[in-house]
Amino acid sequence: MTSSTSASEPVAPLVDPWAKPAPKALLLGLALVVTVLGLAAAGVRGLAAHVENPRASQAVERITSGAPWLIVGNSVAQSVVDPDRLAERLQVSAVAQASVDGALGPHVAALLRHHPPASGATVVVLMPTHNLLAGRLPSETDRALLVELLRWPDAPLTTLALGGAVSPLDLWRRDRVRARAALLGWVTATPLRIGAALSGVQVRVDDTLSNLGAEAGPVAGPSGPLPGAPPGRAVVEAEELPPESSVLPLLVEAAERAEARLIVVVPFDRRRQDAPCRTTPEDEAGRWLIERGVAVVDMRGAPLAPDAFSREFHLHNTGRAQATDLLAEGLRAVGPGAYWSGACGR
Amino acid sequence: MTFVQQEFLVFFALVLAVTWGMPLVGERRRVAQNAALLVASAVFYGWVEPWMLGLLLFSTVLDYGVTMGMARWPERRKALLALSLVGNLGMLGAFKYLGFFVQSVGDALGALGFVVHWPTLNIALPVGISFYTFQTLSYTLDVYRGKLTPRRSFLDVALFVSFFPQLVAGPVERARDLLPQLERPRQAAPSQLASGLSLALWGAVKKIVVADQVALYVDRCFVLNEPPPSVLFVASAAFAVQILADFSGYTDIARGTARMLGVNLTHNFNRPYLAESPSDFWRRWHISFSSWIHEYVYLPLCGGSGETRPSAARRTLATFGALLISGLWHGAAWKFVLWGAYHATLLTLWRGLSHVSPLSPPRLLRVGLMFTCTVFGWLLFRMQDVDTLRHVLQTAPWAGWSRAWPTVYALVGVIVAGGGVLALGGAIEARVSTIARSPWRPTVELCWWALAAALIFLMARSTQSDFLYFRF
Repeated sequence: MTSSTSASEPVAPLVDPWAKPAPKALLLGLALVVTVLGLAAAGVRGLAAHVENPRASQAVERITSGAPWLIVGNSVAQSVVDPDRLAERLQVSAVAQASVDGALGPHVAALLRHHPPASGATVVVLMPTHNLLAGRLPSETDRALLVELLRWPDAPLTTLALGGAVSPLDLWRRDRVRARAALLGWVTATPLRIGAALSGVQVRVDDTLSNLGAEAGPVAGPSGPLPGAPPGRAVVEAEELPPESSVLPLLVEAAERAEARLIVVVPFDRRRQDAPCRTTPEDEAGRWLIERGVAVVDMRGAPLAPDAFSREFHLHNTGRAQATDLLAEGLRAVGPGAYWSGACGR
Repeated sequence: MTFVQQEFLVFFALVLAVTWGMPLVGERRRVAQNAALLVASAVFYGWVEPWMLGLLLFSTVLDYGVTMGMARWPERRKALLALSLVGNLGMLGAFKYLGFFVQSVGDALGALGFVVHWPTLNIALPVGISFYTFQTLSYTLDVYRGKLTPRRSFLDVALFVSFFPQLVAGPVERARDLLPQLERPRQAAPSQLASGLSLALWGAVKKIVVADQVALYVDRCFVLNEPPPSVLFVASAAFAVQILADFSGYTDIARGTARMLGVNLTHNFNRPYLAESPSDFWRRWHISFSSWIHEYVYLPLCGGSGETRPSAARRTLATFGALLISGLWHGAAWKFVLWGAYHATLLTLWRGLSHVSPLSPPRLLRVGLMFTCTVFGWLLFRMQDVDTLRHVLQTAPWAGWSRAWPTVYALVGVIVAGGGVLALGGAIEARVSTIARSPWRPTVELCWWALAAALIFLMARSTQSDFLYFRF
């Protein structure tokens, strides 16, 4: 930083310490530069080593927990599904919530491929279709999350992100994102913990902030290759992506390899409640999945009160119970390769 | 191109090298430097949308021609001024306000029962049009008033209008401040380069380390469907931190880069949240624009140059006129009109109260009260639409507290951290002049550059957002 000058002040001071800097001062300055940069790098590495993305590790833990039913998706799935209630409605022993906040299709595919669920488990993928079909990972945070979900360093250097490759630089990116998340997490969680202690209320910090501080980025931006992607591989807007070129084949393959049953849920959608049956990009993806024996449950037209929504796809806690019941009805109704949409009667 | 793009680093390094590396002397060197800066400004501005250069050129040619005309035909000064006003404000109106106007008229007719189906006008808003229109108008107005002699050099005038560090988001420079600097020879001084770099880095830290991080939380709150009012109000306080960091960050980068090019730009912020009254706030916030509005809108509406005291009624009308224009300048939406009206009301009420009340509350209380009022203003400014205000006014402030408090506490953390960085930086900035001539200055500045680079590298995101004032 520097002193402020107005337009009338001289630009340079009368004695210019930079014109002929004292060797001692300069040497000390350079030593300090090296120290500051070294400390910063060590700090980032140190923070990153002690902090991991809790959502990613929690999802990995849950998906490999042996639960017979798994919910995989992003924050939409977290806001829609009450796992205990769903287990009760489906009359199964357990439903594990293995969703990761901020996840896109490539993350889900990576999760299933690198951390296979128990053989015979039912995997319910629940996220907005444009997230599921996302052809690129738009932000550094997305790429870092993908690296978190791989079994690093055992994983081969190729990922599932439509031909993208993990480079050693991605590890540095992951550390940087971890350190940043740790700093921001501390900033927001500290007053929250103080508030909780003062009021004597139990609060789960992660849940409170899950929809608040996650990095918001475009789901699919202008076309462009993923960093490190093999040349010539086009990356297109999510809704323009033909299903066979999207992450869907990788998803189906991962489920087949794990001998798991896959159900894809098109989530409740506040915007489309009035016209849930019109043809949309979701239909094309749905048809593609059904042809490969995957069940598709379309909840867009489900009779969910508009005030249950906090955003287009996210629900308030109050809407969650009703949504879970409606979802259970849809999940019970489908068999392999079936399409269920209660509102449209298909 | 924006300041926080990687391309800008390469671009600016080239500009610096060309500007200071010219093997010329005297007037030829100055002219060549200005020509290089003009070309650089055109590249900077037309980087993404080259067609926008046409509008910039139109405005420049118009005001150059008008001011030359004023010198040649003094008796036609009024007509020439009108031509400049119509040309510049007409261009601004067409690109910025026409769609809003058409939609508002359609809505009004619809409310009266006359449903009209006009086509939606999707007119792209040229970046920085509000800034350079006002800047070039100040030149014409000053020439008209006889405060400035018209310049014969088209190069100097064109560079005054398009000088890239402050082209797209200010400070709105007056011709009488900037033109003389462009007209005299400039030499590179090592200290000037170093202090410019320090200032630009501080601006980048404000933008990347504070504004962009706070924005993540603020943006999430303002897209919530009817959130509890407490969340909205605290999110507005966080937005107060964000917009100050974002806009003053831009200004500091602009001032820093300009300083490295040998040009001093005016101050735009002076600790605005320490304002003790609405008028004090406007003397501290976006100073170059506020003073523009004061000089070219408020004072004429008051009926003079400020030497004779206008009546209270006239001052009130002028206040509302100036602040409504100021609000609309920020964007073609009713929420900005409301924001302007709100600040005009505050100013008027404060003025009235200060005449009536003999009490003078402690400074801390005045600052706190003014900050609270400012935050409510930012709620109007940031809200998605006017419906949000309706929701806030119809809902008890404590409604939904049981589910809102964790978010509120988390936001408080964001405000304290973001505000803390700004306050600490501001306090250090105020004291840095003490080392200006110290032999240890290079040590301190080198250290600062390393720290700033580390902070920027850690906190920069690949999904970097534009500066907020680019939208205006």
